[in-house]
Amino acid sequence: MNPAQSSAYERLVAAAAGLKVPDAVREVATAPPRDPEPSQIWRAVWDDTIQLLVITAVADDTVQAVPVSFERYADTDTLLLPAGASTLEQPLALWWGLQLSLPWYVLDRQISQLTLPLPASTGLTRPHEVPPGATWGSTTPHPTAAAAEYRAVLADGLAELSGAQWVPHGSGVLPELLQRRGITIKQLASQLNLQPPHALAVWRGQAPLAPEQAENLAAVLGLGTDEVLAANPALPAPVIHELGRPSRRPQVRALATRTATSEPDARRRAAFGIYALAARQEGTTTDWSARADRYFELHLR
Amino acid sequence: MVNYVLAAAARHQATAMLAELETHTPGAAQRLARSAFTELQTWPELTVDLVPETQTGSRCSVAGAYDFGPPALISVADAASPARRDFTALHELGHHFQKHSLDLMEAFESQSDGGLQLEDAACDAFAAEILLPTPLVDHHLDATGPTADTVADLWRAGAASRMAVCVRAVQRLPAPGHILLLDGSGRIAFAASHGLRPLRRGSFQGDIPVIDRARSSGRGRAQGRTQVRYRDGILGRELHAQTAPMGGYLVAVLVTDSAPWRRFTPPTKDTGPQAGDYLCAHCDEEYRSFDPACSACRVPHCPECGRCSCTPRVNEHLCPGCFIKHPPAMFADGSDRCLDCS
Repeated sequence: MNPAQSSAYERLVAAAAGLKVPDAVREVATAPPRDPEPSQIWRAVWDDTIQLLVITAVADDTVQAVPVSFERYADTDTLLLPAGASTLEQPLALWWGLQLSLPWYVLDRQISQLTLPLPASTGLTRPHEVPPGATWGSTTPHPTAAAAEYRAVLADGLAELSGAQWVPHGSGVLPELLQRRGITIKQLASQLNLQPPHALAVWRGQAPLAPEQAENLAAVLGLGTDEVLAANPALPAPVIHELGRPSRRPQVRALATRTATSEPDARRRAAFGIYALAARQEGTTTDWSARADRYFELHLR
Repeated sequence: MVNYVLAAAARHQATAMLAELETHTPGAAQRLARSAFTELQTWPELTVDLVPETQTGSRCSVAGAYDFGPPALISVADAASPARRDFTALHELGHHFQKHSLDLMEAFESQSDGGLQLEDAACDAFAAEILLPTPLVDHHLDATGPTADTVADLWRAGAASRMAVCVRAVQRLPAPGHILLLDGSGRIAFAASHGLRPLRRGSFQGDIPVIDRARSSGRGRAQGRTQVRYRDGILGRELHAQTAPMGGYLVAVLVTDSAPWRRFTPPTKDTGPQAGDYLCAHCDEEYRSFDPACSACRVPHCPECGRCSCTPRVNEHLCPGCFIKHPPAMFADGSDRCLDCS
């Protein structure tokens, strides 16, 4: 192929075709996504921000992560890992001091796994001991300015990922407001021109009001539109957790495609759909995971 | 706790739903009774799907689901028994009616939870009423209430699942109790409760006195008094129980009093739930606990030392001074005695 006559995309495809992807990477990248674990290397994605990360710690809904890059730029606070330090079989740069807490839902796909243990602390202070074969970067041979700029870009990207939000913030007191004013389901359906099932879900606090609906209802309730919007339903924490799991992301994306909405909108739609789903369930504890399975089975047929 | 008011309201709601069904599609009740799933697949307003049970994962706790859409969607797990599948399909149809009728929703407005429990209970009652119409139930279950044999007879007489029969029969219990469907290993395949805390599906009851006798006799028949087992071995109050075989399963009817198979049954002593007995593996404390068991070792935490039976993550050493096991942090470097004793 003559590079001068081909598009950038064609050149990229040609270059990719010549790459050898390690078997371990291919295996983990093509497997169904699982919940994150420390020492895994993930691709995180939110809006236009894409970043490779090493997970250093995992909590219920968040992970602690340090950005990682292929070793092109480095500074004195970059821990350079040898090719054998991960299943990527490539030297990696670990950007020390940039560790942040990120929500699970920005994790897109695991691509690799560290094979060396990281120092116990990955905070701001550089540890005295580093894994075998690892070294701290220096200002040479790369220009300091480029490395500093690269670190700043990584910090900005990580801040974007850390601040990613999709969960609606409502106090959940809407049903109380409606019942205190004696508003019946029939009246609500008529006032907001809602179909009966949707009116019931709003009346029960299982579906949120849109701003124009809140404005309409505010006059009836004798409240401000903002007050009515603030009373919107609060999603149960297990539903938020379930939709944040990496295994749900392909389903959320498929729903976004099907409904021609953004990923956060599709996630909110699925969350309230799962919350309001009528499911015949055994046992006394709500199995939100099984309900989420059913919701996506129904909507992604 | 299932309450009597809710159960009565659910039956009342189910009657209104049946009237709605007759208005919506005259004669549909009979067709639904023959094959609910097949009939519902012909309804243009509904999309009805059979979902392989394996697709719901190992949990498999959701047998059916309804999403009001639009379009309205029903999914039913592909259960081994077509009768059970039909019961679930009818349960979901119950949601469809209740969520699309503003008149039926009026019953929810007086409920503290917005009618969530009532809606679900009414779906069960609606499904059971279609599969087991009142005249058929009246014929088998007389005014004194169900016995294990009459429940099994009702199942043989109709086309309904064992589960539907249990739901219908529990409505006729003369006192608080349960109707249990137990598999060959003594685990609960389905439980319908009335006025007592519901029992969990899958829980093992095979070794409680009456059930144990029924299983070991080989005939599946026994009666007497027993206590059912809740989570972590906690026992419920003593109940009068009777069992009978039901197509490879065992049906057990348990009541606090007024057992239909006895002339006179005084109420059993309400001993309430009884906690399991435990011996702490670490401090030898004997204790009883209602606390949930540790998911790993199945033993609740000891009130004395706060541990379950799991092996401690920290390697402890025995101090020869106080004879207490301490974590390494309690020992100075090179010392075999703890900081308190050295």
